[in-house]
Amino acid sequence: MAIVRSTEPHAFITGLDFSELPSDILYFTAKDLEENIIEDAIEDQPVLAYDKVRFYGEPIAIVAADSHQKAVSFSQKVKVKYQKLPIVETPKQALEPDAPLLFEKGNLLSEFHHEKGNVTESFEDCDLILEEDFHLPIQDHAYMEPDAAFAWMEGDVLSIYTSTQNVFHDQRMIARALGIPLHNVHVMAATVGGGFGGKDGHTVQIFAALVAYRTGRPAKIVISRREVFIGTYKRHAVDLHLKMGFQKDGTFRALSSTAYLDTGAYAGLGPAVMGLFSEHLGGPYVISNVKIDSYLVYTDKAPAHAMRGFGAPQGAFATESLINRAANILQIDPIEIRMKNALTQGALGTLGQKMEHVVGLREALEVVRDSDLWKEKNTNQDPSIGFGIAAGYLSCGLGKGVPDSAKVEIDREPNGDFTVRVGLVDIGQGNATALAAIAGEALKVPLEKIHLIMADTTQTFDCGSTAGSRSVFIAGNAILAAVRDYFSHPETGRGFAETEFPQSKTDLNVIGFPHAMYTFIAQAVKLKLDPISGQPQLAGIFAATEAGKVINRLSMDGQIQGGIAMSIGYTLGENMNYRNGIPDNQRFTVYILPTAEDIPPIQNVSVELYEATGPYGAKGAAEVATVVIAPAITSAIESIRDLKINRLPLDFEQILDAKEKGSVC
Amino acid sequence: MLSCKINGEEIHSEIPSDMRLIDFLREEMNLTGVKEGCSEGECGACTVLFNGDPVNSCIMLAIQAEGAEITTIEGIAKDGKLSDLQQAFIDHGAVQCGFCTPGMILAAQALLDKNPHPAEAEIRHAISGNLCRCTGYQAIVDAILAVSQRK
Ligand code: FES
Ligand code: FES
Repeated sequence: MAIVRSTEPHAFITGLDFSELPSDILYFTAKDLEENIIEDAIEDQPVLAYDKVRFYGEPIAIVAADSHQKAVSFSQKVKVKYQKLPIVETPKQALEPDAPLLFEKGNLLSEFHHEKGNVTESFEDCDLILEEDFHLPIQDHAYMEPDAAFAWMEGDVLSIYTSTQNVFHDQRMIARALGIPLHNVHVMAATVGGGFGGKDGHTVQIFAALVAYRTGRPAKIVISRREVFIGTYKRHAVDLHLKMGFQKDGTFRALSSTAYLDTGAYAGLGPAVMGLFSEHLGGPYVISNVKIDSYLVYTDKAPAHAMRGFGAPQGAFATESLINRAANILQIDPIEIRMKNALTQGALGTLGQKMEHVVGLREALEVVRDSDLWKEKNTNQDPSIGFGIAAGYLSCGLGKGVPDSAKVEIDREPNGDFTVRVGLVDIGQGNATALAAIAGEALKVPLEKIHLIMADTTQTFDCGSTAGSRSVFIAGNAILAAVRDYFSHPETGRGFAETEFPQSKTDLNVIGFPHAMYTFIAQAVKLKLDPISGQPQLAGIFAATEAGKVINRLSMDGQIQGGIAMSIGYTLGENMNYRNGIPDNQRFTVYILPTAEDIPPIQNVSVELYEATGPYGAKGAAEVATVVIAPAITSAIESIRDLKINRLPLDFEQILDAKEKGSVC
Repeated sequence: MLSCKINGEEIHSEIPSDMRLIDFLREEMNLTGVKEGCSEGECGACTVLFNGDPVNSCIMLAIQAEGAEITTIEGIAKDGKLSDLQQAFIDHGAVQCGFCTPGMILAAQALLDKNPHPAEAEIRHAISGNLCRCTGYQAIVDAILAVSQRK
């Protein structure tokens, strides 16, 4: 199979010509779908574009042949006629009164406004006010396995293996697009080669399903790396203006922000990302006076969506950068200033949400302060070496008002082993290992006796998505409850339970937030700035993470190290960089991922506080590590060169060339 | 006609001259441990050993393997027993999604075959052609170091 994709970023489709395709090459368009919509929270995206394309690389038609090579070469013979439209390149341009429109309803998809305390007055009382414009780029998930699916028919039933984060969502969107009953769609997750949020939606599932359903023959699709770059979900680019007011003693007194999030051509999970961006913008601190205005805007780019950290890294870059600069100006130690303002259990976050669960930020900061890496800061004599720190947090679960539950069944087999059925996917982060360990421990049997069946719409129950750092927490709790159910009547050989993720008691009247529970981090960086190239050479990273009790130390450290590496890429060079609606970087030769030589040794220490509502005291941990390594790195650079780094990825030449003190890079 | 040795076995096969080595291994030989992440020599997921050296099988033609000895991940375990490196990857948590793992292990194996006691920097250099998006490389480096120090 191959996909005919738009070569225009914004245009009307005025004609499709398949006349050069021989009769044994099949093609499918929007007309072959019962309902041309990708089922999601906001339904604005067609499965196949039919009247209009809104981004370069948007799928228009599917070509199927008896070999992949044939399908690809004939897909290039399909002619699409366009009537070009002016393009919308940035959120600010999108909101101008005469901007071209992606949708008739306008380019503003959603907005969020929040005010707490009295921001205007409190800024007047501040001893120090810092404000800057920040820009964060578009990042690709760059999971190593390109999106793929394999579908076939057995009687009326369409079976499909998908590379996904949620088989039940796949089932719903396939059934709806093809107009077939839900129970005739059987979705199983294949071993997923990385997701990071990018496989929490439609990638290619409906395409393979459509071809198998219409032809009755098995259908396989694997897209190319270039297609992954131009055609799949991304992390939101953000432009924001942030102002923070401080007292002499380091108290964070006021914060105000205006932010524009670039959601690309379709909503995806954009509104939820804007929610988490706004919720996390102020960082894990007590700030009494807060004003947040956020806008989510359509542009002619690949849709932005969920990506590990879910809006938090963008805001944290701005806030942590200003905090580091304030600490420097006020001559307060950067750990001290964070200690002073840190959230504690029971305190109110920037949206006024109460910290209802365990909070280990101060403990994490203390661990960093005592680390060898940070102590070296006081003895270092080399002016080309710098140190930086940042702290952050990330919510666990799907947020207030969003259904967030898991159902688990446990069956005792005749040989005394146990089958445990969990409807979540292991996307490579190791939740299967953790869940099997929880089941083994609770059932008091060795791990070999636990057989986990995951992510199969026929054999497991809907547990929602592997997302929101929720899977171990929610499924772990459901396993424990199912085990209790089993022990209450062991003679039946079966245990079943459904559990809910704890929801915040704070009500903001917005679906999806705030959250009830957060995971906390403090991360420190040591780096050397190359005087010739301007390039920072990372020498070491020390991370302290509080994610409740740790279930599997190896998996935990792996999540932290992997999350940090992903955000090192975000800092040092990853950027889709659209020009005239076409991304510059469509290959790994130009979209540069960090290699083993770019990533320094990363040490993670877990601060193990016990979270009473979690399975064996655990919270979620898969995403938090991505949140603040960027501002830790830039602060280390700013400690060597007197600069203000306000945009990512770093521009090495600019850093090198900046002559004036305080230049903005 | 292509004649070569794959995972220790003599192979003779009729193949089209424009067939890539990766397609021959995956489609004809069913060695699906060879992964395809980019198709242009950038990610290392398709790494196989070619006379002991790591190569990207996505940018080679199958006919270039004439007379050569090819090792894929399927040829690394012996008599159903994982190799030291494979076991160390498991013990150190060096596998998350696993997509990069076959290529990583082969690249690391090639290094250790030539240089049994590499320094950490040499290890990082040897696997720098193999991208991993999940692990941050630390656990992978630790696993390779552990094997090199054991011997
Ligand atoms: S698939 Fe061969 S190097 Fe990426
Ligand atoms: S483990 Fe997923 S890419 Fe390396």
